[in-house]
Amino acid sequence: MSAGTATHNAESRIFKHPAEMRQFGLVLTYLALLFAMVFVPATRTLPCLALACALSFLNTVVIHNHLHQGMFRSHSLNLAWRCVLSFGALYPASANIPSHNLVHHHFEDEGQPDWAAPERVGFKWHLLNLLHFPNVAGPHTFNGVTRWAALYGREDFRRQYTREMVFAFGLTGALLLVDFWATLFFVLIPQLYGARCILRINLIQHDGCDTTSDYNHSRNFVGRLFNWVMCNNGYHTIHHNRAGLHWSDLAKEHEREVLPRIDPSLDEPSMALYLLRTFVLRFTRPVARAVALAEQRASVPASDLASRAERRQSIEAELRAAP
Amino acid sequence: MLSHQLMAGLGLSILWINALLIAGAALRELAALRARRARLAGPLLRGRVEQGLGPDRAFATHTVEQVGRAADVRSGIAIHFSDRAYRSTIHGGTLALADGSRHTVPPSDDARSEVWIAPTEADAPPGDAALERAWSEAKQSRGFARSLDRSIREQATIAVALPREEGEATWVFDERFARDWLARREGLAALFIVLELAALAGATAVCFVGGSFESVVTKVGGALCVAWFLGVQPIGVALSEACRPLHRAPVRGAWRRP
Repeated sequence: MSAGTATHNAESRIFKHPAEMRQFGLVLTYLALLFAMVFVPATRTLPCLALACALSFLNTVVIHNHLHQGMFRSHSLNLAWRCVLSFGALYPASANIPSHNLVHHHFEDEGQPDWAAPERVGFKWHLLNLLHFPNVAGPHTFNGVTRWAALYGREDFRRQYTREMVFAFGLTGALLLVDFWATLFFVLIPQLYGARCILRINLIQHDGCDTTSDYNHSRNFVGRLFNWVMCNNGYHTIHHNRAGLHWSDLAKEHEREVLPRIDPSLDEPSMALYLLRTFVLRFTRPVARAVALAEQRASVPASDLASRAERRQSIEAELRAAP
Repeated sequence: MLSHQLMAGLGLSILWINALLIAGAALRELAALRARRARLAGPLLRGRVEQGLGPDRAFATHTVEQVGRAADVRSGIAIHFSDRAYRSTIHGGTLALADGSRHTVPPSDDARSEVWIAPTEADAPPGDAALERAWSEAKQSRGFARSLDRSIREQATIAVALPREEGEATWVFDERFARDWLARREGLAALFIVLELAALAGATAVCFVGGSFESVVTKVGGALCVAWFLGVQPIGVALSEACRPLHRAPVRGAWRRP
């Protein structure tokens, strides 16, 4: 047996999908860098801090993917990994279940707006909205998660949520005791940067879109390098519609199902250029266009997409089966 | 290697930018409250409802559609309600004005109406049988639906602010209550802005006591800054919820039986 085959077998015994190694590697690199900055003063440099912030954001992307589909074959390992990811972002990863999988994917909470709806911020200068968004979306999200967790049948969720909270805050607290300032500057800042950036993504991906439509509710960023690093999180429309798809399959499904039905303005080649154009080079919030017309005019057969209510029921059923 | 002084400068810059953004958002709330108070100074119809054209002779109704979900409690029953939708309806009718004249107010739907009715006490749970039924529905995925309707009826003394421009809604309210409510919310928003900035200024000052980053006091300052950052955001959101116009204000609520 070759070394390559042996590695592949080890991967498939532990991971559900070989592509998960990329996510696993990103998180381990991030954690190694955080600990290095606490214990090895020479690493406390601007490039390391910037890299830690970038990796922290990717840690939250992994939280997102892992909470849709656990990376590991073992359920216990998946739950333990949530604790590790929670430390990286300083919030319980399981919060994604109500806030993202249930509420955000359907753009509403019991008839009220998504906890991270772009409309929650209203400065005229859009850059201020981008900066301020986590200050508003964060508390709405945690208030919503707290209300959701208090309901009947959520004991397992609450137990896991508490475990993640204790691990994330406990380990951060322990590091603060070891070296207060190093942890504050080189652990806490990256942790909060990632957590706040993943909230900002909601504004970036949905502002100006039509969240009532089937295919024009999200902005996609389709650069290849960007999506390699971001584990395909740029393909957002197909992810919303087919949440069960593994992230490594999103690119081809985006091309097949979304492209014929989406307004070209929601298929951005570069996130950096979009950010520059939307938040830096203009001082007003872009006016929403009637983007949903694109799917009405599309000359392709009707899609077999289930209704949002059916999709939500299916997610809730999965959740009841494996909290 | 990045020095503590440089990193403290970076960290505090981030905090102060956020402090100003949060204060800016609160200022926007304050401006919205003041704009609404300005309507109180404009032309108002003040009078007693002589005739209401709605169900049970209602002049206007405020409705909150809710869904109740079973809460996890060690014993007994608890149902937590979430608001699904808010609806203001002016059924229309006649007002007897203070000068002895009468004014007919036409009906208008939710898109063009704002009905403010003073909140009442929390609603008590119904009798045992009804509560058991509600509990059983609240445990299902559909939940237990209910509608809270409150109406302004004949003989009520109210004020009506008619639309001044295209797109503005007709606002029906109890004038004394509305003035008090707006004044309290304006005070709350102004107080929040002052306290929020003062608290961060205090925490910043503690960080620099002694001028080095070795003393316990500066560490306390750093911890206070983190606590400020984690605390100010939910307080800012709570303020924003408290300042939501009354016809869109969260009602929620719960039924509990030990």
